[in-house]
Amino acid sequence: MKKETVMAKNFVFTFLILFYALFFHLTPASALPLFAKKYHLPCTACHEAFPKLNDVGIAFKDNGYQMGTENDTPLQNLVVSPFSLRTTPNVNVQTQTAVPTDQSNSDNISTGTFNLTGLDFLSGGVLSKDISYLLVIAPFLDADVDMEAAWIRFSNLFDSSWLNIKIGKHELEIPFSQKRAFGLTSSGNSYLVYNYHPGGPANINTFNLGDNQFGLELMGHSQDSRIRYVLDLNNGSMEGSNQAQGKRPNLYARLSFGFDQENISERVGLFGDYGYWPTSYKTEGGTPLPGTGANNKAFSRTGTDLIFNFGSSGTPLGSLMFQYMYGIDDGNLIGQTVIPDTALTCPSPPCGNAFNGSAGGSQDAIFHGGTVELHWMPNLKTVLFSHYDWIFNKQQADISLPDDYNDQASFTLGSRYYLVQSQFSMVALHGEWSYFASKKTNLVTVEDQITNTFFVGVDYAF
Amino acid sequence: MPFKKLFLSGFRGLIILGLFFLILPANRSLASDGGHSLNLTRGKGVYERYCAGCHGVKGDGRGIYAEGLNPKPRDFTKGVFKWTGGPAGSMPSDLDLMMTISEGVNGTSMPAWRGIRESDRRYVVDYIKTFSPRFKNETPPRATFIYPPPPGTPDEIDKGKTVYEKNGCMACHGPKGRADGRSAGTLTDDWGDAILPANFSKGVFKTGKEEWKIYRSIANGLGGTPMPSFSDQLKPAEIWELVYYIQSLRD
Repeated sequence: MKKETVMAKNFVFTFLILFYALFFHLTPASALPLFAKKYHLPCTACHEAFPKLNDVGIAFKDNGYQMGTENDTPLQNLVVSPFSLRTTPNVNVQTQTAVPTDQSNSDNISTGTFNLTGLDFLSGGVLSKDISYLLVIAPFLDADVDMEAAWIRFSNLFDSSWLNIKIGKHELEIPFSQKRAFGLTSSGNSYLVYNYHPGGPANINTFNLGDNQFGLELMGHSQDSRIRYVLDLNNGSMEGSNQAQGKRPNLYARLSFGFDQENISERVGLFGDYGYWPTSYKTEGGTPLPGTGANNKAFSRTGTDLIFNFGSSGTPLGSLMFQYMYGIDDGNLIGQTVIPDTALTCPSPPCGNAFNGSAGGSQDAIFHGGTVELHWMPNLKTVLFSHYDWIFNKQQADISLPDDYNDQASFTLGSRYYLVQSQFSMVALHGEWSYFASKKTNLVTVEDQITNTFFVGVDYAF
Repeated sequence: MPFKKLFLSGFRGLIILGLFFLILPANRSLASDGGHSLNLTRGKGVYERYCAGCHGVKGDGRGIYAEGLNPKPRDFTKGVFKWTGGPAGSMPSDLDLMMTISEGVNGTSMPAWRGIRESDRRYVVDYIKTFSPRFKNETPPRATFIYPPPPGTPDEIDKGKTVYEKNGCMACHGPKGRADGRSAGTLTDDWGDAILPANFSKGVFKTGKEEWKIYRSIANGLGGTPMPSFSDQLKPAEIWELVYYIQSLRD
């Protein structure tokens, strides 16, 4: 038996034992204690289970991190420290198929490692009545530091909840927040439709709906946040440097409605993003000069979402969530699909044939995809979660590419067990398996590529 | 596995699981249609998630987060509530309790729980009423009639100042409404805890800035506190004058 196989079996066995022991014999967890500490509330006041917000949490966020009782400002509600930290030490095992290497056109690669999901330092709160802020700094293990979020918000302008303005780097109001997903693997905490680029690496448009964006958000909501709208002008995944100066801003919009029944509540929404990406720059020594982007070409994303929340506000049972999105990228954004120089000689046809003669985009690229996500809370300490994502290409920009090139699917299944859920800290045991497949993306052999990831960790925040 | 087959199997799997979910709560709702007691079960779930941390699992105001809060969370077991439709000390109506839950109490740790589903807020009201036997034995009186407000002219404010001075408001609230009257430091509530009179100079009123709510607090008083009812002592027009004067004391 191969060494990797033995290791994987041991890992799964250990996980199952650990999971069983904890699931049946321990008691659980909660939310980011940044606000819980301030308001003397348990995490579950605002989170169905951390990090997913419940209706109260959404209303609190919509009101600029204010509970709305004149007790939110630093003067009236002294907080020792408006800082919080979150990370997840973990062990993960990953297998990838059909990876081209210098040694083979199609290798299977397995890795097993101890790791961290990252490290988030958060500070947020109310600077003065109706003026709130959030800072999230995420230093990575390789010492890069990402300012993940930094914004200031002016809430309830003209004494109306329908007028709120946020400026800075912020998360777009997408239907399923990637910052609040239960999953922690790369497939588990992201949604394909938000981050997909038709044409794969040949697409110069790197806009991701799921990324935090530099921009200005105008947002409004009813008092109970059951009706919400958002208009957002942003750089569209071009970081806040001069590089974005040659690019027209993106416009993102969202409208959603909530309906409450006895044992179920529904949220239905529409969202869309319309943006441009420059296709040429002035250069110096062949290097594009920041701020000189020109010949902007359009892209769009349009979607709808439907969310069912089951159970009562006090004892939620879970959620069933759907989203569907349709995307179009101008063909000029998509260049030639290049087979890596390192490709070995094809042992036998049809290796690489599908991409021979690729000339880049000659027509719009059109794709569509969606998500079905399910959460189940058998008790207040446990969450079982899964989501299935898919992407289908309807029309390739490069007509030499197969219609199904880079179609994608991912599936995530996991569980979180909350050991601690207090106003001061959150500790959760986390186990997850995720599967990701992309069609014909081994450009040498035209094989599908598949990645399986097993992840076990301890998610904590204080 | 072929790609489309994988897609279809994954999609179908989650849809089937979702349908299971749709059935699950439906069965529970059939069970809960039976009567009030199951609504109490639901109210208990909501109470324990949102309220028990401060008000205590037993409703005695001794939740794990209660220590250090000022004012202290309400002890529901005595059945005494600050804001009632009738005079201080009378039973609150469901609407009174709903308003406090939905709008919160300004300047305190009691948030506005508008985000909680309305039906669940009603179940919490039902559940809170189980903590005190008073709710079984007494009924809320008819709510105090709030007369239509006269225009808040400078003359009304001047008259309000006279009402304020003649009726002993200064003893607690102070001559300028700064909560610095001679009795201000000696006040306690029905539980023996120190309590401060309202400071009108801040312009923050516990139930909100709506004038009719200030009228109600003057007319009915505040249950469990030294703030008495003035409905027998003052005419409606005088109460309105007092409302306007109090509002004028904001810095």
